[in-house]
Amino acid sequence: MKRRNVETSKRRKANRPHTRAAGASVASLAVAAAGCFLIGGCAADGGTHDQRFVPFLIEGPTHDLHARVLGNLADLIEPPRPRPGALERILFGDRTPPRMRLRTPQGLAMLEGDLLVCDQGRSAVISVNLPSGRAAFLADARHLPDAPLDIAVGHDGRIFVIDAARAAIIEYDAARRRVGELRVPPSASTSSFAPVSLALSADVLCVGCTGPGRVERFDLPRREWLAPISTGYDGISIVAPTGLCVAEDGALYVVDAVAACVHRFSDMDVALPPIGRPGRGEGELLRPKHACVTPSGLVAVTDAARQSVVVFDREGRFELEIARNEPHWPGFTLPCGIVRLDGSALPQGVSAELAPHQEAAEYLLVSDSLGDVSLTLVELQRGGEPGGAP
Amino acid sequence: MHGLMPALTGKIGAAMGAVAAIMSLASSIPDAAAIGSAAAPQSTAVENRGGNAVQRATGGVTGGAHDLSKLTGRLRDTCSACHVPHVLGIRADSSSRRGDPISPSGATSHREATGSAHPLGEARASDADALRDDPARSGQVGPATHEAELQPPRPEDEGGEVHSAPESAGAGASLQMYRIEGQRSALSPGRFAPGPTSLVCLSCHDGTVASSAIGGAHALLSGVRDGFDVPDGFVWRDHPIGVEYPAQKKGYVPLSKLEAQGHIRLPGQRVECVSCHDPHNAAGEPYLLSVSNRRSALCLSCHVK
Repeated sequence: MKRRNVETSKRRKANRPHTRAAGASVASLAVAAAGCFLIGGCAADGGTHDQRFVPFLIEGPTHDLHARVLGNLADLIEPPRPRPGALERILFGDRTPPRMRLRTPQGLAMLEGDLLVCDQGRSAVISVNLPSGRAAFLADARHLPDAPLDIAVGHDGRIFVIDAARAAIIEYDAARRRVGELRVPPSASTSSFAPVSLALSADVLCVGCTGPGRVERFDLPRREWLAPISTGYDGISIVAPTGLCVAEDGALYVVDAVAACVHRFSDMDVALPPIGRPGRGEGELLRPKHACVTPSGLVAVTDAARQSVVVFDREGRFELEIARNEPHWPGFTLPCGIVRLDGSALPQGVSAELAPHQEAAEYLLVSDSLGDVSLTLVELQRGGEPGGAP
Repeated sequence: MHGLMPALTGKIGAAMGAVAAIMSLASSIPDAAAIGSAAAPQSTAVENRGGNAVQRATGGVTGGAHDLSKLTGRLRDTCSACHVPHVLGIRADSSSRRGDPISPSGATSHREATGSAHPLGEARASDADALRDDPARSGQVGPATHEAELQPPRPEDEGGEVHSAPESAGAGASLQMYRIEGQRSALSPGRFAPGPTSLVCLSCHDGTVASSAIGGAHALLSGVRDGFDVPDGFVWRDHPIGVEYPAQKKGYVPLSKLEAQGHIRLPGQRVECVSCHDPHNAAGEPYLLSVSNRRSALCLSCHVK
């Protein structure tokens, strides 16, 4: 019994980046391990799988919009293979250091060429430099969130992360140093403040909160909370705003996982008709989690219960659904975060491969908190077949 | 002591308020009242502890932690936290209600159809409600009549869990009113793969809609990306899900005895969320436990200590 307790304690420590990085040398090892997590993809059995994903095509009902599932981003990146340091050589000899993978990735954001991934299972935000494939923890071990859910990045490089365990929003500066936490807005009590989603609209940080559902807004320059948004179009209540995104025209999209729709607000805070409605039919949603809006106005919504990404046009009309497509792809298990990638931000190997089609295409990256593939890269393109033959 | 009395008074007041609110809700929504009275006795108090709704007293779905109608004001959300009705079929059944699956009239239609096919009042997680392939994709939805739309259960192509229809469904015993899409086998089949029922739970209990089973106290899934396998006798942080029940091992209650007890569900002979938690809270236990854990009764249902 005693032995088991010791074993349990060791296991806990081994999986807490806080403790692992207690010493400087161990911290460097952790970062080195993080850099390796992209190497073999996300083989579920802990081993590597060398089979390369074969991209395939999904057509919308109108045959106007196409999606091509390009596969696991981790598989497509050629990671660097740095010469192991002295510590790694002592610890592992000629063996490959243990790889570190995403466990339960949720919220995603892009900061220049870096992909930021909220990994609640690892109690960390992991920063992946897409061109190089290098990965590292966002902050030092003392300042990692316990249960990161969502992340937003400001134009000035400031980073905001929701820590669900502490019901707090952690703020990091452009140098990725923690500078503080946002306090509970006056409209909420400490016990009812449950932030779950984030987005930045100009200088206003929008915070989706559950129980009761609303979108709190924080004016960053003035450091004060503004009036929250609690109802959408026609007085529909916001219940569970699990995802927020801001389009290039300033419109705010609020993904409501319980109301099963996406509330929309113009840049003037005018509520617009929502996108989607509950159900299993085309253009209907069950448990939507996050959304992103592409430059062309496509609204892509991850849905954990439909296990898919549902794509709408800017008017809210259904375009296509990216879902299981046997035998090519088993599909998502619990898709959660979604972020738009610029073609230029794609990993070098991917960019070269997609070069002829890159300009006309838009790219999405979808996190799956429980699937075999943790980061699925999808290409969207109107008109002709994207990316050539699947 | 001086501080205790006002605190107690406050708690009693809050409990009374909750009772009044629930009674009011139930009486103002006839369908909800019917569902609640049939499903289980009305709950008498709901409190919130750090985001975890804890239902006390006699339990039941209505007014409980999983009754989302409290939040949305829509009757259908009493069940839609976990169940997805055949909204397309219902609309096809009644042209006057076509196109509005969330309207009160739609709910009435559902109730009428439910009356003979799937008594909500006897719903349990083990019922036929659970886990089928998406009817919309399998082409089962959309016939002209509701009767034709309700198909017999099909074997699971994935996930490995087949739930038979409740005997209480009467003449329509093979019918299923609710379906949740057959979920994928997650991660590594045979090792650590949360089953379909657990994935339904985790679609909300990931810290977004509801309390987290990932990074919270349970931390059940922290190791899955590393190909985590539960070693013999090793308990991962709290309690794993998606693992096979080790019925043959010493220290565990035999499967036959467990089944005879009847309150521990093992979908596909695996330990899942519903093994310890009853989403319908029939027992009225805190944290929706399937049975009271007084004197470790729940733990000792499986573990021989």
